[in-house]
Amino acid sequence: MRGSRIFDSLGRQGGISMGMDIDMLRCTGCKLCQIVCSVANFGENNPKKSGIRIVSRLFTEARYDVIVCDHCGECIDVCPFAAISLDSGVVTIDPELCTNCGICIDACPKGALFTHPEVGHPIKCTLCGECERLCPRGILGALAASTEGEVAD
Amino acid sequence: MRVTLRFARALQEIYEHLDEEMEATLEEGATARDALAAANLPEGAWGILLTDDRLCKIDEKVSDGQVITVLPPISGG
Amino acid sequence: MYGYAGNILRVDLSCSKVSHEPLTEELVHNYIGGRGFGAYYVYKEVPPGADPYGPANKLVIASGPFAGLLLPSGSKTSISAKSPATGIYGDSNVGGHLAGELKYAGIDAVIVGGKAEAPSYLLIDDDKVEIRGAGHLWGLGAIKTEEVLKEELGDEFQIATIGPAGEKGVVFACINHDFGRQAGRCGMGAVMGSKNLKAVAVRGTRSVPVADIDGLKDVSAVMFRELMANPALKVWQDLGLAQVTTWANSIGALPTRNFRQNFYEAVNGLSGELMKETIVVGDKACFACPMATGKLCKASFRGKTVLVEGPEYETTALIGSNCALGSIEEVAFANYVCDELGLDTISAGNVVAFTMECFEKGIITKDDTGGIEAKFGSLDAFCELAHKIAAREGIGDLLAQGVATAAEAWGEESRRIAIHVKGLEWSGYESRGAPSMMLAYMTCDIGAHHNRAWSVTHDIAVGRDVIKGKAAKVVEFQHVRPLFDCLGVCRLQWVELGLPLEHYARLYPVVTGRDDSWEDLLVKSERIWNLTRAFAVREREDFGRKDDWPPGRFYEEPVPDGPLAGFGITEQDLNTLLDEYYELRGWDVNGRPKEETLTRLGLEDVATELREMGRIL
Repeated sequence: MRGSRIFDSLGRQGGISMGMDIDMLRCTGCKLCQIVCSVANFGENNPKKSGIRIVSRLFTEARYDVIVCDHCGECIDVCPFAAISLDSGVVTIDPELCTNCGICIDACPKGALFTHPEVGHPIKCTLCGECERLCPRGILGALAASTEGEVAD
Repeated sequence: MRVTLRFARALQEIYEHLDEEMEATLEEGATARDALAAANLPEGAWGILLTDDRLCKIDEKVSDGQVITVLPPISGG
Repeated sequence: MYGYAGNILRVDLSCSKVSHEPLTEELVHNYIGGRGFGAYYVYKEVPPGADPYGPANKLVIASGPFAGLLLPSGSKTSISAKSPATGIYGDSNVGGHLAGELKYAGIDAVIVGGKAEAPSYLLIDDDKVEIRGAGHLWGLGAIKTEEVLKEELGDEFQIATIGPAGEKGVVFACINHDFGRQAGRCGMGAVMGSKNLKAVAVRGTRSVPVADIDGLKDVSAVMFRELMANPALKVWQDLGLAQVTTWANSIGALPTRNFRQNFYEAVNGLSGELMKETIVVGDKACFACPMATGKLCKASFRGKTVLVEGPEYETTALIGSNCALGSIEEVAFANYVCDELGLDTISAGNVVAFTMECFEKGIITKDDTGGIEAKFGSLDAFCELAHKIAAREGIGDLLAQGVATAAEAWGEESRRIAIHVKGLEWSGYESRGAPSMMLAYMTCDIGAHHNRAWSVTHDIAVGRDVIKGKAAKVVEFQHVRPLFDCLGVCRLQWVELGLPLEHYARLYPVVTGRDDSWEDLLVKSERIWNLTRAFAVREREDFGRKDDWPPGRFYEEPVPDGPLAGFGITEQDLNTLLDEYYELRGWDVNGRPKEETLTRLGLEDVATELREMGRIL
């Protein structure tokens, strides 16, 4: 899987909030991450079918928030249908088991599970790595680099 | 001394005598402006100059072996 | 229809009616999108003689086929109407995130007609379209309005707003979007205000279909790879458009003191480098753009600190050097004042500089200004005049009508220094030493704006005193540059970072599934150019060469100082430029499209209409 080395480390970390907070300040709000996510994961041009969100904090703080799953796994245990599992460090939703009940969405500490009217389950980061490779500021790349040392093999 | 000038494609399109990379032979103490004059570029033809990933001022003294990337001026948005 | 959402949304504010109609094959084939859609609908649906402020005027907010997709900066929305500034076709485009959002909501263009009884805003939430009350927003600043609506509706809504200037019908009122992006020119904000429309808020969840998604990924990957590898990208990310200021000054093009000069001795105070060092607090991009030329700045003046996006080059030129302000922080503060009031910074800079020069020359006095000491260099005077303009109080009521109207009131001596063409104030390149650029301003279809053709580098390369042979470059640019406004994509990645046009030509079929070549698209762009010209010819019996004429200052006064000291351009030069231009365009000596030209471009109906009116031979 492309980008798997980088994102294995995220799973092991269990939390990357420090790295993200630092790099978020350099986000320019272009939303390339959102559009490439939809193309990579759904084959469609639609930033709303995406596992990452850029939220504007322009009016008060002159910055953007980057909201994306950090694979902490808190949603795994709350799922009543055992539809969410940790698969090689990637928190993954099984669309066959998921009933779209929304409990995981409420439980996510990052608010990083998203709904879409055409999709029968929450949409989340699959660690495909496309956004990291496209981000013009290398913000998501910097995030990966900061945890690289944690990778055992 | 010799400096290397690297010209952006847009500049080569306007000034056909330019190659992607050209060398200029200059006197000691010469500036970036002298280097561009040696390449036969009129004033105002260039935009920003870069050297070692930093901005190079037009009146800055250049040194032997220096590489200067010449970007075209802006094109009015 | 690949590359399009497939629908036009019609809004009649007079009877609170909204309806969807399908996009037609004919419209897409002939006019592409964006500005092309605007030109088509404004020509077809705004009758000759219609009051720009009346319910018969139509505001067309249009996206284009490249907008909202995975490619570099498909971010452009074109907003068109009959312009209150010029009385002819006008449009202005804005970046940000609106163009894609419209398509995600299932529409390619919104056509707003009529006039609401009370202040309203238009809400588009996928298929739900509502005209809602905006009583609580009326009177608020343009940026504040967006902030309030974002709080009410949520951050996913993309919002376009007007400020008090738009409400009051200032002819250079702009439309604001995405905190600090504006459709600045031609008074589109005044048209919105005349319809009692304070804002448009859009959210959509749909995908935009493309003909060949793998092809799109391939072309897009090449384009992004080239952009990221370009050494100039970092310069643009670092400095944005502010880097232009010192360059424009060094070649004698920076408007200074109401275009009296083109060289500003205090330019160092306005430089992009100083801006970065002193006031920039963050970078901001339009949709899918790696350049991020938007610079978020903090600026303080008289104890008030503001956050503003900008200033970019045009604002720095027209408010900075043209009003002779001393520092980039002052320009940023003035930028904020204009943005919040909803004033186009280009025209506002012109209007204030014109007032300052008339004050200096004694054409007007403190009796006229209501006590304002309207001196060059005074940010206090700038802010006071801007507020009076937006409120249309005292001198502001006259200035709110632009420099052309103010000069009619202040007499002959002021007329030659009122810097405009067709009633639209001149943007940021003084062109006495750049004949092709001068011609570009003279013949730009919306008035004195630089975005249609920008050819200063051509003048530098070919010779700044050369007149003959210059028109061809202007015509070429007038077709290729506006094509980007039709496609809904920003042109900076091409003009500034040198992405080859071939990439855009390859994108067109993979996005739309259509087999038009780039040359075919340029013909469509030429059709649109002739249609907007036809609008002006249909509108005014006497429209022609005199309307393509620059202000007297430019051919009566040589450049006084700076690198081009002594340089000038003559009336004969200007006529030579126009003769050559009209010939190349297939227009008559008075600048009216010939019937054969309109027919060649598939505008037979337009040719018949103009012939029957006796407007063309």
